[in-house]
Amino acid sequence: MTPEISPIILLLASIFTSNILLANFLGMCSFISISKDLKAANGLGLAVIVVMTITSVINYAVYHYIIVFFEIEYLRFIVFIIVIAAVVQMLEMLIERISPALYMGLGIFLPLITVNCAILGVSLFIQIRDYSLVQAVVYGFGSGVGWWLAILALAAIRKKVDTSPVPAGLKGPGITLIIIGLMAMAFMGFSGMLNVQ
Amino acid sequence: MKMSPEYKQTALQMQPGIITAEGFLGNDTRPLVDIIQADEEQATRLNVEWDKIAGHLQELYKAGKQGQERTIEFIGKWNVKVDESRGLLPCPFKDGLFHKHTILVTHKPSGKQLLFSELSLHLLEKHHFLQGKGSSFRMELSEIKTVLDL
Amino acid sequence: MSLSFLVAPFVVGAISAVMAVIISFIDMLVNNYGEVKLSINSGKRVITVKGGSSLLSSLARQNIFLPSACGGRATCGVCKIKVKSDVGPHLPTELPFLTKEEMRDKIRLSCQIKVKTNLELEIPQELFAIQKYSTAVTSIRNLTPDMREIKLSLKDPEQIDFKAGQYAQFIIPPYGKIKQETQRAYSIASGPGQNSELEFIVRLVPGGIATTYIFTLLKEGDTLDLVAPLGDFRLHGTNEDMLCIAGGSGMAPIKSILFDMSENKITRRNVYYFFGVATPKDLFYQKMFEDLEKKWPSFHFIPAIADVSTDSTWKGETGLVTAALENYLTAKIPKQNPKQAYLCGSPGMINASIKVLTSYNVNQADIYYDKFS
Repeated sequence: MTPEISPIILLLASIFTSNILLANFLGMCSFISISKDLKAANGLGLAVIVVMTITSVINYAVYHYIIVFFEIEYLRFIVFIIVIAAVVQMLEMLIERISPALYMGLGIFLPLITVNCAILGVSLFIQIRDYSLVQAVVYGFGSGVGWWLAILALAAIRKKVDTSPVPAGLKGPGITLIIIGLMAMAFMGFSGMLNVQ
Repeated sequence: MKMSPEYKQTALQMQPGIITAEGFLGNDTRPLVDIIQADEEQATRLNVEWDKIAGHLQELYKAGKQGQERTIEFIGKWNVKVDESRGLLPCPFKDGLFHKHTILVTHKPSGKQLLFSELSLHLLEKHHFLQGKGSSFRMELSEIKTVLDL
Repeated sequence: MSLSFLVAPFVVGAISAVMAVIISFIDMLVNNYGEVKLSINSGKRVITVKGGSSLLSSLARQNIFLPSACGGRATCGVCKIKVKSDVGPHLPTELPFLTKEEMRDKIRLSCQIKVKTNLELEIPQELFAIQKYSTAVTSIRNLTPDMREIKLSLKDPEQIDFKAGQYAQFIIPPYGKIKQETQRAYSIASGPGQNSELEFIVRLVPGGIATTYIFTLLKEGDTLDLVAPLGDFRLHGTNEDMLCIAGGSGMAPIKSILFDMSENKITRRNVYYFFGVATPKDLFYQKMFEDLEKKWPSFHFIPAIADVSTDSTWKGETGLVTAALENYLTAKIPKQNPKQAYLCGSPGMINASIKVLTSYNVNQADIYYDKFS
C-alpha cells in the first residue's frame, strides 16, 4: 500500500538519510572512477539527476498503465532496463550536441549510466514501496540529488587527499574505498531519523 | 584484463596507419595492458630496472646525435648511429610529440644490435611499453640486457 | 490454447519500438545542423556550408585549405584558426598544441571544431592562395638508395603560383593495412618559373606512412593529389652573403630558391651552399650544381662527405657539414661581409649550425630555417 510519507520528508530522506550511494551502496562503479576529476564528477552527477528523475517518472507510468494493465509484472525488469537505456541514449545525443567538452570529459561513463544500478534500483524501489506519482517524482529527483552531492563530496575529498602523504600501496583505489567507507559510516548516523517506507 | 577507456583509445592509436605505417602492436594479438604487464613481469625476473635502462639508452641517444647521422663510437664499447627525418610523431598515449629519430646501437664485443626511436624510448621509459611482438621497433628485455652489458 | 501469452512479448516489443522511434527522431534533430554561414575576415568572404563536419574539412570542401600535416587527427597542431564566435571551451585534444596567448586570442584547432552555427573566422590572407591540385606522376628516379626524385605534372588546375622555398602537402590515399587518408609535407625542389610541373626530393623513412607509399606503390602515370603552396621559408634580403646548409632531402627548398635566383638573374650575391652527406654514395645532383657554378661565378657548391673511407679520390670537404662551414667562415669568407643563413635539415644539424654561425657573429634574426618539425 502507498506509504503515508510527505513529499518533503521523502525528499530530505532520499538526499541525506537514505542516500542511494552511501546508505544503499548503489551506483558505485562510476562513483569511484569519475570522482577523480571534480568537473567531470559534477557533470556526471547532474546527468544522473536528469536520468533518474525522468526514468522514475516514465517507469512509474509504464508500470502502472501498461505492465499492470497487461498483467506482465514478471517482465518489469526488462521493460525498466529498456526505458533506462533509451533515456540515456537520448541524453548522450543531446549532450554531444550541446556541450562537446562535457561529452568528451565523461567519455565512456555517460553510456555506463545505463547499467548504473542506482538508476534501476530507484525505479524498483518506487515499484516495491508502492509510491504514488508525486512520491515517485520526489524520490527519483531526491535520489539523483543525493548521488550528485555524494560524488561531489568524494571528488573534493580526493582532490585534497591527492596532496597528502598516502602510503604507496593505498594510492588510488585503496584510499578511495577507505574514504567512501568513512563517508558511509558518517551517513549511518542518520539511519532511523526519517522513514522512506 | 578489462582495459580502461584511455588504454582502449591508446590501443586504437597504435594501429597501422594512424601514427606510423606499421603501428606499434606488430602482429601481437594480446591486449595492450597484457603486453605491458608481461614485459613488467619479465623485467622483474631478469632483474632489470626500467629507469636504469632508459637512462643508458638516453645517454647513447644523446651521444649518437652529435654524430649528425654518422656512426660514432661511445666509450669504446658501442657504435651508435642516429638517423633523423623531418616531422614529429605523437605518442599514442597523447603525452607528447617526438622527433622522427631512429637510433641503432651495436654492442661491439657481442655484435648484437638494438634499434629504437625517440618515441619508442619514451614508451619504454614512461609507459613500460616495448611494442607488440612482430613490430620492427620491439625490444626484448633480454636483448637490451645483452647490448647494454647489464 | 489462447494466445494470451503472446501479449507479453508484444507489449515489450511495442515499448522498445516506441523508444527507438523517439531516439531516431532526436537523432535527426540533433545531427541535422542545416546550412551554416562562415564569415571570413569580417565579411570579406562569406561561404555557406552544411553543418556537422569539422571546420577544417568544411573549409577544404570550399577550397579554402588550412595547413594540416596529419589530416585532421589532432596530432600535428598546424591547422590553427582564429574563431571569433563562441564555440565553447578548448577541448582536451586541442590543449597540447596551443599556448596560453593563443587560447586567449581565440585560436582553435580547426580539425576539432564541429561546425554547428554561423561562425566568424579570421584566416591569414596567404592561405587563400592554397589550392588542391590533381597531378600525374611523370618521372620517378632514384638519386641514391634512399632518396627519390619525383616529378609531377599539374593536371587540374594546370598551373601553380608559388614562392621558392614553399612546400606542398601530398594526399596519400588508404593502402595496405592503412584505412585512412594521410597528408605529409614535402618541399618543392623546382623553381617557381616552372609552373606546370613540380619536382620533389623524397627520402625513405623506415616505416613512414607516406614514404612507404611513394617508394613501393607510386608509379609513373599514377595520379597524386596535393595541397599547395604552404610555408613561409623563402629568400630574404638584398646583398648579404648567403650561407645555405642542407643535407639529403633538405636540399629541396634550397634548390628551389637558388634556381629561382639564377633564372631571375639575382646573381650578384655571394652564395655558399654546404651540402652535407654521410658517404660518397649519398651524393646527388653534383653535376647540376657544378654547372650552376659555371653560370653563376659568386655561387659556390660545397659538398661535405662525412665518411670518405670508401672513396680515396675525394678531394673536397670531409667530416661534418658544420666543420666545412667553419672552415669557410674562418678562411674563405670575408669576416666583415653581412651574412644570412638558410638552414634545412634535422634539428641536430640545425642546432649545430646555429652554434657555429652565432659564434661567427651572424645574428639569430638573419638565420632562417625550414620549420618542418
